[in-house]
Amino acid sequence: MPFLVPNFSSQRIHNLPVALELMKNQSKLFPRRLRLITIIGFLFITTISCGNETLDDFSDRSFELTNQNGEEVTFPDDFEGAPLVMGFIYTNCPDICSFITANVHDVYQQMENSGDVQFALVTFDPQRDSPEVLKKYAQAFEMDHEPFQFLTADSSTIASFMDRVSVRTQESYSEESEDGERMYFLNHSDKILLINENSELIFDYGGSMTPVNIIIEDLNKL
Amino acid sequence: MIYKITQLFIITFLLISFISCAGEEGEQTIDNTEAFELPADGIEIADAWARPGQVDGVSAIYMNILNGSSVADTLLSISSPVAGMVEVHETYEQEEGMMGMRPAEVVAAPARGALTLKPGGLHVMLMQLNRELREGDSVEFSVEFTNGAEITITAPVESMRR
Repeated sequence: MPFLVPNFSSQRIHNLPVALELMKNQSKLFPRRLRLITIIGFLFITTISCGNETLDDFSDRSFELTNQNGEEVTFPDDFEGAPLVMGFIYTNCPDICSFITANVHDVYQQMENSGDVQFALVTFDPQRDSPEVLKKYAQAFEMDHEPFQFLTADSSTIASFMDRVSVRTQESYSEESEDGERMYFLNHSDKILLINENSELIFDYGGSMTPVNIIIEDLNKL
Repeated sequence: MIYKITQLFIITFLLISFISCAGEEGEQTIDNTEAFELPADGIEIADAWARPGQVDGVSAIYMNILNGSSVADTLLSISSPVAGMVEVHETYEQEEGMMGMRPAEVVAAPARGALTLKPGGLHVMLMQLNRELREGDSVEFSVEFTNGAEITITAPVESMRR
């Protein structure tokens, strides 16, 4: 009969009673001392890893973006070394995206010590959101200053970037204004990401509805 | 004996850390309790505010429409001197956290009741702004109702109502 060992390595087991029961059922194969060491090991690993489990690592690719001042910014390379709060918007969205923008602003404003934390809002509507449009948008929200960056790129780069950060968009409907201008609106993911200094995704929040203090608490743990 | 006490101490310490760690998935409560003082009769607009927006861009107005009359009333038209186009839109959630926006079909305030236009729901959409709206500015807008009421009001611009 093969020696059965519960597999703790493939993924974190959050249900301690289940793990204990599994070991109890295998008591003949699991000497008491070994069981004790396993419990201590399990609790130790779970405890030290519970703070900042990473969800993704963005360092596998680079994206050339442009900020509201027309300056080239490379993600994630230029953001490495300090935490990054990143939201996703388009400027023709006055409701949800305004909320995301204001939340990013409020995280910065309400942090007692924002230190070197970086803040970025990336548009998923590069066709309309040029650096100039993003600059006007940033000015309206009193965010056209450091540490805020409003980022865009060519349509192809933005499509690849949004795919990499799992932000989905699709045109919902369009209408024509009196002067013949076509106005379109987008369905989109509602997200703010918290990325650590190593370009690893730490948290993925609902962008418009997440209380700012929760993001600040998570930032303070980094 | 000392070995066993040490073992017990380590397990207790780690167990407490584990439990406190597991409880870190914060609870969020949003207080949606809203009480409105309805007018004795007719219709009123209260608590109006608008979002910042850039020239040629968009903004949103939120408000409470308070209907004190014994019959329901419907919003007929809305206009603002700061916008080329004004419509009432509603934000809605699709599957997997996708958010969308669409024009609202009928905007009605119930008899002796209130209709709330708020972030993440119904809102007045100002499009083709002819001037920038920043926090501290104000926006004038006019609303016409089916029952004949016409209300013009000024809303402050705020990045977030707190």
